[in-house]
Amino acid sequence: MKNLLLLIVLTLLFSCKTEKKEQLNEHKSWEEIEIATNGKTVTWVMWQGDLLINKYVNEYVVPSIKQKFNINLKVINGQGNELISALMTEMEAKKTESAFDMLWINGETFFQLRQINGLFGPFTEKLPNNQYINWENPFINTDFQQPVDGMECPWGNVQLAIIYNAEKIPTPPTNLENLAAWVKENPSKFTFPNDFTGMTLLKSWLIHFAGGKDALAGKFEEEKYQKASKKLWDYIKILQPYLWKNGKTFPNSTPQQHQLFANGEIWFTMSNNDSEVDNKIAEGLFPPTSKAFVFESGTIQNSHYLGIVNHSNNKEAAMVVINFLASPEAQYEKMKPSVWGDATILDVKKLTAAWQEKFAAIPGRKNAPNRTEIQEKALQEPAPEYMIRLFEDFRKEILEK
Amino acid sequence: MRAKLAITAYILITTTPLLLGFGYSLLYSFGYIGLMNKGFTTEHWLKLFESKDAIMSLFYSILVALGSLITSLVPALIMAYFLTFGKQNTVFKKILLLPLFVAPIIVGFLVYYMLSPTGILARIAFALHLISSPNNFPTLVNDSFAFGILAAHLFLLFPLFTFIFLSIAKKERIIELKQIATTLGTSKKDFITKIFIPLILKKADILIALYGLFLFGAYEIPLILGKQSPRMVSIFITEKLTKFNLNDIALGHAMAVVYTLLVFLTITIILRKKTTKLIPF
Repeated sequence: MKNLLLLIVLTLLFSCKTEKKEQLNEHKSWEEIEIATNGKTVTWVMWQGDLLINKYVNEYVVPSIKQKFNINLKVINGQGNELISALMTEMEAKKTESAFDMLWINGETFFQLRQINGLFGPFTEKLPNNQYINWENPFINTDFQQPVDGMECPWGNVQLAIIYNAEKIPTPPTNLENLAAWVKENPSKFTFPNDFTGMTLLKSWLIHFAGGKDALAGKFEEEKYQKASKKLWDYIKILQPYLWKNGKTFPNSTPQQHQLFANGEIWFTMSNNDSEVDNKIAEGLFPPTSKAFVFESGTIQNSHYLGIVNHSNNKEAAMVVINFLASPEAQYEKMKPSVWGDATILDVKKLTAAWQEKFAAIPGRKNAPNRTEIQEKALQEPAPEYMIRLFEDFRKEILEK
Repeated sequence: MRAKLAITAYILITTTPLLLGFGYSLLYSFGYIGLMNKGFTTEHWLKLFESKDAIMSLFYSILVALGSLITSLVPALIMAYFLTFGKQNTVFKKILLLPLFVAPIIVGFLVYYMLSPTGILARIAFALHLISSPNNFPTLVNDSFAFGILAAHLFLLFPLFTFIFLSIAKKERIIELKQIATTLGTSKKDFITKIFIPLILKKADILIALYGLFLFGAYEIPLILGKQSPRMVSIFITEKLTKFNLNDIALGHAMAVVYTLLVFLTITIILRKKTTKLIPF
């Protein structure tokens, strides 16, 4: 038995690496950083659930990074909570070198990463392309009501859009009153996923019931939440008997909701990316008559960001990669509807005339809503606690009743 | 020496990770470890026992496990009886093993595409004008009665139990037993209800109980085919460990401890019987 214990202790000891955290030299120039990171490998954790996004990353970003900076960009699948769990495990085990260097995150993950002190930064000031980022935009400089403070670099900007098949629904219901009437007339044709996208829809409605656009701005307030959420649950309870599966269950994920929409079981789906309808038509998943709109009361617009793991050993190399992703060149490529259609986080006016012309010449959207028009209906993400409470209370108020 | 090495290897491969995992969850649930914890607390345990959601998950998992066992055992017993006393068909007996090669997640999707309102059965019913629209097809997946889950477990377990029961029947020389019983004046009904079924179930009771535990912890099939509330205990734990609220992680660990203790308790009761019974054929 003693031998066995000794073996376990030795195994645990030898399995713990003791590399030191990468120390950054504040005074290093960007040129020196690029030279120092030559030949390094950066592991990037990102959601890989979209063919076009994967194609952009694997066929454009990875080879460009290799060619320009001789950095090997290793892309692995992972997102939000899985990522947080993995990082928490590393941190709890006092691991000094993370298996991940760079992360693609949204506000909810940003909030969680700040809670566990998992992000390196501030670092954006160090990036040469930081000068072009539209930091004046509140949808970019604030993430879920938290100032970004250089702890993450914006990568793209999207707005929740509702997707429908215009062949089946020539005039979609664009406000909550009409939606309720439509759902009653067309039972089991509407639902929303019980995931981040579905909760984003509920947050948009929560803001509406709280009084509109800036009603939930600032820190979480219990009283405001109670009042608005009561109206929200009352509204959903009106819809519930007429929802898909009588509102007793909801799709587990947005891809599942997309599948149900694609096979005609439901007539609406939704996406956090307002241009996704064009992408999915191009992929052949959605019927060509699919279109997207934004409710009159507005939908959440948010940016998605790139962060660096606090205990990564490749912070400088990750910064080089992030700087490239925020470059006019990479942003332009990403914004093309045929590539991804993700709106840029750059202030195009700050770019050279040549780049401004190129951005202006990007072909327009086909079936996705006009970006300028939906901007007027853009709502800012409320504080992350609203999302946590909505998710918990959705279970108590709707699923368990 | 070799036996000791084998035991050491077994402990290292199986028992050690299990105990370490259990210890980790236990410490996490009492706030001793974990980035979000701030020291010893019983708060998470109190929250767990006060949570209607958690209690419902436990009972739902038990009900689904029992329901799946019953729906698989009954046809398996009937099939085993007919295959034992009917015309011997070795090809069929081999086919019986086929579902065992299909992963549960695949079975989950197969059942979904078979039974959903836009699935194969709904389309056939619509084509045959049995229903006026595919949406009129009854709700058989993600439904309140866990029909989809039971169907998937039936697909996986019914052939397996049939195979096991056939092996037990052969080992216990059931054919000869029936001849003796009939000679002594036992009716066919009495033979089935008082000899065949009790004998088979008694010989397979440990295996059946172990499969019950497997069903109690099932994940993929209930995830695809089950309702979101109530949900299986495995899904409850996963959601608490990986969803938006980091303060709920300890709650997930507390439930993992409860789950492990329940499984340990059941296994301890089962193992009170002779371990040799674990392999009934």
